[in-house]
Amino acid sequence: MKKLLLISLVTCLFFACDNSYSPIILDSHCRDTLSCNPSKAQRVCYSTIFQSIEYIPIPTDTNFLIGNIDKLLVVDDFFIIMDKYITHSLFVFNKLTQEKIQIQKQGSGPGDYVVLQDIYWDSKQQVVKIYCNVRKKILHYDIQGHFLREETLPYRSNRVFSIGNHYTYYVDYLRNPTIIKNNKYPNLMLTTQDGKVLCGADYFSADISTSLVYSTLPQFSVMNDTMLAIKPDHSQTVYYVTKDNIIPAHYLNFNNHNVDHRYWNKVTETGMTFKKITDYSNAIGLCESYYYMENKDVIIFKYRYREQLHTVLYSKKSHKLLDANPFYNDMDQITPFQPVLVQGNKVYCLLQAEDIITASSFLYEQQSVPESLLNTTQALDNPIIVVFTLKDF
Amino acid sequence: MNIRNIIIGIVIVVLISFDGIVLYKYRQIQNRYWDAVRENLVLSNKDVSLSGKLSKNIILQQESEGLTVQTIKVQDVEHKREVPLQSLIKTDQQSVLCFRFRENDCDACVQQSLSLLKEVSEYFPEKGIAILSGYGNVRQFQAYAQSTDKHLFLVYNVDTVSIAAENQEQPYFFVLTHEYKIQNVFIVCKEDAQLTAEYLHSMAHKYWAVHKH
Repeated sequence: MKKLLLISLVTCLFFACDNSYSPIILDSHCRDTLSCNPSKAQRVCYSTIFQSIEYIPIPTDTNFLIGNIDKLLVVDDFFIIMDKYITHSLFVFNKLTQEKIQIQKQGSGPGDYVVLQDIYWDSKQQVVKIYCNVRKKILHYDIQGHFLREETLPYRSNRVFSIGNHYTYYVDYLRNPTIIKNNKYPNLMLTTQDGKVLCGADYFSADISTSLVYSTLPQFSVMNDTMLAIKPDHSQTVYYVTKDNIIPAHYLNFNNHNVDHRYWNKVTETGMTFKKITDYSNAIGLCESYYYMENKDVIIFKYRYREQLHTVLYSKKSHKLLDANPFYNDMDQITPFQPVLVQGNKVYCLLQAEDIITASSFLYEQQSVPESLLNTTQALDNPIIVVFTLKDF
Repeated sequence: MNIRNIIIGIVIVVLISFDGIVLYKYRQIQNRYWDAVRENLVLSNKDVSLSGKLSKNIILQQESEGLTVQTIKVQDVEHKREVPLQSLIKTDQQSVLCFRFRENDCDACVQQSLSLLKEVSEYFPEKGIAILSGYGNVRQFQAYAQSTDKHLFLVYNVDTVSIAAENQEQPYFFVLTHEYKIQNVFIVCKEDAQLTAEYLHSMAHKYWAVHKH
């Protein structure tokens, strides 16, 4: 009879299962909290944080003109640049040899992309992977710009990254009805290669139009070969993605200034516009955090509080958090702190050639920028990559 | 006694299995039903917003219609100089189909329109299509122009075209006639690419089909 009951129980359990993924991750499970108080922000100088600056001009000629740098990857001496909107190209140049190539393959044939949605470096396979979310393809190119192969993905998203044998997808207010579960869509999910969803996180807080909210399309920070970090815009949770799981790692706590139900209620009101929402957010003093980047030593992000953009730098070694407003450039007096990549102890920013030309007489006077750079820069040159080396702080 | 227990056991297992199967199928049907309801709701909301968008576009198009081009200067990438917009018209009979976009316009709409333009470019005469981009930065414009099919399109950069169609965030088309008038203004609607394709075909027919023969 016991056997009979056991069989019955197993049968019941078998039919109680369904194919939904788990677990639903809650923000309250975060391991660490980073507390920011906008009223206690202080003036911080670049020299407090950085020990040196290096300038890397990107070579310019008519066949190598970059419209905008939407993403930068640094692999040894190679710089891989994605220009998503203007030339729809990938630019690769070698800092040492000055060798340069442009990959422009818009189309629908093998190796082509319709939209250059995202790129990343696969360190295991030593290839650049280009993601087209219209063709739902990942295209593999070697560092010399040769097309190797392509693979098909089951979902569309804004960002993709392969981790172990799995894929992680990030969507930014782009609901994907194919993965709806319990009336929720995950922004961030981990799947197997054939698309089985293993884990989903950061559900949409409200049904919103992308034109209503300021969105920076966050990118994955590569912590190491088996871990990525990402913080969706308007979420205060930083997620770690491993090859098997998605873990809420840090919670950015602004206390009374957190983006909460007040914001989402406003966003979903009828007749809302971008300006009305921004004005409301400024009026009640919400802190909207963006541009999150992290590596094993440091966390860098920005947040907007009452029309002021604060820069936050957090040292994981000393647990010291600097909330900088203003973040004063006392080093070269010209490069704005808008990181495009944080890798090791290097922070990569961009300096526009025309800004150097405009401020050239001031810069000559200050001698804060190498004279050779001032002498050789032309107004229509490609942007200059500025590499800040971090101090221990 | 034992046989009776076994039979009862088998019956229980069969019944539970049957229940389980029925429950599982019911859940599947229910999920499909709610997904369909949700999808229909989203679609009907989309229809309402699309119709509002098209109505607004029609008003802006009408407002822009028939205006004479005054002193609009465009940057010519080939000669690296500024020229008046009128200089696009080379002969008395020629009209030019212009596609206007700015850097903050919806990128998907711009790409969709450019792809459709490429498809129909064979119906237009040489130098019959001009792209009027709106980059604030000269290098960005040059990078864009460099990456464009220059054998298919004329490429210029212009700060502002002072017509009502400029007061929204979608790219738009218009025909610049030999009388230097802006006609047949059409604001792109991302949700309906077919409309853009039909517009381009009808413009090709209206302005250039006769000359073609």
